[in-house]
Amino acid sequence: MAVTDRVRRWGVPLAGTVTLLSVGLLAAEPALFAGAAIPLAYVLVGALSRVPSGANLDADRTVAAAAPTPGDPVDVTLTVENTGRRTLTDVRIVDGVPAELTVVSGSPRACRSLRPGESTTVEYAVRSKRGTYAFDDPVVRIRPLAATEIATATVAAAGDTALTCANVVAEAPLADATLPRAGTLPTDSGGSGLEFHATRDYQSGDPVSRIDWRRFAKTGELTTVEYREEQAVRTVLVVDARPPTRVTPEAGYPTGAELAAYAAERLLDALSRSSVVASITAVGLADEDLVGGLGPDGLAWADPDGGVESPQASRLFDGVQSAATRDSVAPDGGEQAGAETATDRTAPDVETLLARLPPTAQVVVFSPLLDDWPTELITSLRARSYPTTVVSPDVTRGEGPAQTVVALERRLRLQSVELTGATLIDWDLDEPIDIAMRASLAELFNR
Amino acid sequence: MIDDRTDWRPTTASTGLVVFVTLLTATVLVRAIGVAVPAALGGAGAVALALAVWTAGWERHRTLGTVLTSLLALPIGLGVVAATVGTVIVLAGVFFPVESLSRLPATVVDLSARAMVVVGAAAAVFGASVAIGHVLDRDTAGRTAEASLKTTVPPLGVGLVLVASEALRYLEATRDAPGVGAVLGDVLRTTTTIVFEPPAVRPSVTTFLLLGAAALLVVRRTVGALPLTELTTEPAVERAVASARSWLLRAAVLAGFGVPVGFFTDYVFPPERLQSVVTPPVFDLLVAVTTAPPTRRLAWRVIVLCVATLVAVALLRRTAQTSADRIGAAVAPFAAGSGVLVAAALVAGPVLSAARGWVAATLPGEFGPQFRELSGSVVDFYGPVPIVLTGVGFVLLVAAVVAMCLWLVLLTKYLDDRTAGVGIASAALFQIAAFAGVVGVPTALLFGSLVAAVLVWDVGEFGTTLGEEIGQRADTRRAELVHTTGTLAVGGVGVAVAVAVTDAAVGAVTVADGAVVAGLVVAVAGLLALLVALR
Repeated sequence: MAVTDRVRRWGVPLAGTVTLLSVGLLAAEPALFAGAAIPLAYVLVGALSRVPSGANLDADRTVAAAAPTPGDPVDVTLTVENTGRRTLTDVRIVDGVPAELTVVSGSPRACRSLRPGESTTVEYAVRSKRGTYAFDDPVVRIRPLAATEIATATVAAAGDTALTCANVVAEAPLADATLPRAGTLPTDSGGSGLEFHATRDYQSGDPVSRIDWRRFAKTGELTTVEYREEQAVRTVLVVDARPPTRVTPEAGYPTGAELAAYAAERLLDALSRSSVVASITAVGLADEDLVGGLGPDGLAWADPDGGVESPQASRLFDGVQSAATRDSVAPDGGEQAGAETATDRTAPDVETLLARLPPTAQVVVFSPLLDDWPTELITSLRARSYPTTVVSPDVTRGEGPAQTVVALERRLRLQSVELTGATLIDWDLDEPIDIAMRASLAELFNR
Repeated sequence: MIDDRTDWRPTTASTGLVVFVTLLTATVLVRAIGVAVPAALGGAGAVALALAVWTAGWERHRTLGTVLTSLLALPIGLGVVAATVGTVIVLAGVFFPVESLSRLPATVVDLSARAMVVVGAAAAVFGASVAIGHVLDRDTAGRTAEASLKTTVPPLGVGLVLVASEALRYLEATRDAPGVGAVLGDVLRTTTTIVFEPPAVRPSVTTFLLLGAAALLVVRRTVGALPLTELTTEPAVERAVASARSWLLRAAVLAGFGVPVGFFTDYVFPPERLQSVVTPPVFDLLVAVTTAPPTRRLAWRVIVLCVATLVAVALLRRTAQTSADRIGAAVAPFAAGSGVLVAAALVAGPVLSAARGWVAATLPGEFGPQFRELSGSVVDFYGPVPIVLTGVGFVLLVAAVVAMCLWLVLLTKYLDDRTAGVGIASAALFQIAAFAGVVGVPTALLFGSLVAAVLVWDVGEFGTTLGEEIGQRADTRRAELVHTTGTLAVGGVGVAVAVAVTDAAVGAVTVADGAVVAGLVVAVAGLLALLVALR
């Protein structure tokens, strides 16, 4: 349904006409009266010109990539065709790019002249983000040659209407990460088990089945056989989504928190395929970020049964996503003060997290390492001998002086994390995440 | 969705065309009427005004921007003065004296029209310049006006004070000043005599005690305002300051109580009776003390010094609580104005004699020597510095007034912020064309410049809507080309009609002059009424 408006755009020429006539009267100059015909001709043409009545346009949109990874540019092509019978000299097209996506090249806006049957394309690229984003229908505005009337309408676009950025790929990405012992962690302590560990003197109360009867027959001493103890192990994925991590390396790119959540989601998927029992937690979320709110200890914690597909896991990842999109800033960012107050509000104690960890867990921390909180956490984990792996997406790759300083600080933090004995995976964003994940999984299960 | 853009600019092609057509038309018309130098100066002033508007809009380097805006006020004012007064002087030198008195009205009309063409050309250059950066809006115009006005204050204030003090000194010194001057001179003389140099024939206790009390109170206030207690932690100093202030207060109150007594001794009692009451030696001492000019001068200077200190301390206290950039932006124009003041004072002599020489040489006939004589006596009386400072102050004031008019026009929405630059350029081109028509440029040139004036507006406005709705990143040149071609075609039709009307009118004018003009007016009015009805 087109909305038509008249535009009064001849104010200055009309004022000019009045000037001409006044000066002409004052100076009795006939040429000035004659000259008044020139601006009046424009005003007359403008008053008579109208948007062609039978104007009709068709639109068709193509989104190039079916399931891109977050951060990839995706080409979008909008084709608009003049299906009416009149030439449209001034057609302005604005495609309905979802507000959450950033245009990285080209422009979703265009102004063209279209003859009947002629079509034009508007080409641009957006930076993909996790989730599904629906395009609005393009808005078209038509003016006649004198531009004194505008008709604005929304054209229903055929073709693609949404951009879906899938997090979990269909095929298993980590085929070569074979697992020696799924779900268990061999220990150095003796006890009940399968593999021989040591013998020791009999103590009252030892099970009769573990007494070394052969030795008793030879020497008359009671000895107990110990086997290598095996413990069921839980892998805890810690996603650092505190406000300081919600920065992007460049406009439209996923934030550090989103990348950390993305990596965690991929690893959780791989672990659940390998039947590893995993828990996941995200730190730095506010109560309103998470559907159902945080736990009583202020932690967003999930023990998903069905891997990534489980509702608890997706609820948590959606929470990180909504928190990250709510207040993302550039790494040299202006909203530092606001971010700090948010930190005070939502950053949990390292102690709280440690209290929640099972005693035999192995921990994977996902953090862009933009402040000292993760290093403090990792140091505490290592001090309690938790096997720890750190996956750190590098969001500090800009060229500016502020980003250079932030990158330097991050490198220092990486070094101090390595010194604690944690396994470190520095994820360069130019490489696919699978390379980082492969390294991560191999480290995780080859202990 | 299509109208939601906040940060936009008109398209490059449209802006380029607007600037090119405006400059070309203005140059051609100014050359046709032949006032090159004042027009060039006016153009330079217009560019300076555009730069000032641009620098006033800087958000990141606000202080630097304000300094530049303030410094540009002088070239702006000079440009405006050159385009108006300068043009009139130059043209007067060319056109006058007239051959016969009957030609005088026509000459005056011709001179005014040419001056209006020069002013219009400067305005057109300004419009085109601000269109380049799309910098003119209510905010930047307001800031420019504020900065220019603040810059005006130091030179104009000092200049007026110097001129006024020279005039007052003259009035005080002479008894044969005419009219109001004589009364003013009498008042001045009486006041200064009573306050500073009372005659030593009788005591002058009232004014003495009033001056003393005022000085004591001001000193007490200054001691309180100075951050003495904040600077030291010694309790002894704090106590000393407190006791000094209380003593000053007591002394002032005591002096205040003495004033009524002094009123009796000074004005009620005859001096002889007072002398007999208090004995002659005491009377002489009283007279000597209360009428001694050095004591009064000391009190007066103490008051001035303390008031200056108080003002400085109050300013410092206020600035200490404000951010550096805001202080910078607020103070910068005054600093720039003071800089202009110093520079003007340094070059006052040569500049004034050069300006006088140029005006005297340019003015026609007898006016030149007369001006030289008259201005010579004024300069001898006031000296070059007060005159140049006042002159520079008025030039800056002109710049401030121009910026304020600009701001008012934008504030009252006679000009839209979106299309301010092209609107000014187009309206100015209409003005130039109209007044050039009065001067009698060829008809082809007149009609061509009228088409150019409409073209500038049309292309500029169209480019503005394109910038708003589509942005500079998209390719819009083909649509702009189609639109411009259409505009030129309509202009061609308009010119054809105008030429036809001219031919008909020229044929008719030979028959009956006034009737044809009246008929044309009626026809045009009818056309306008038709248009209003159509809209």
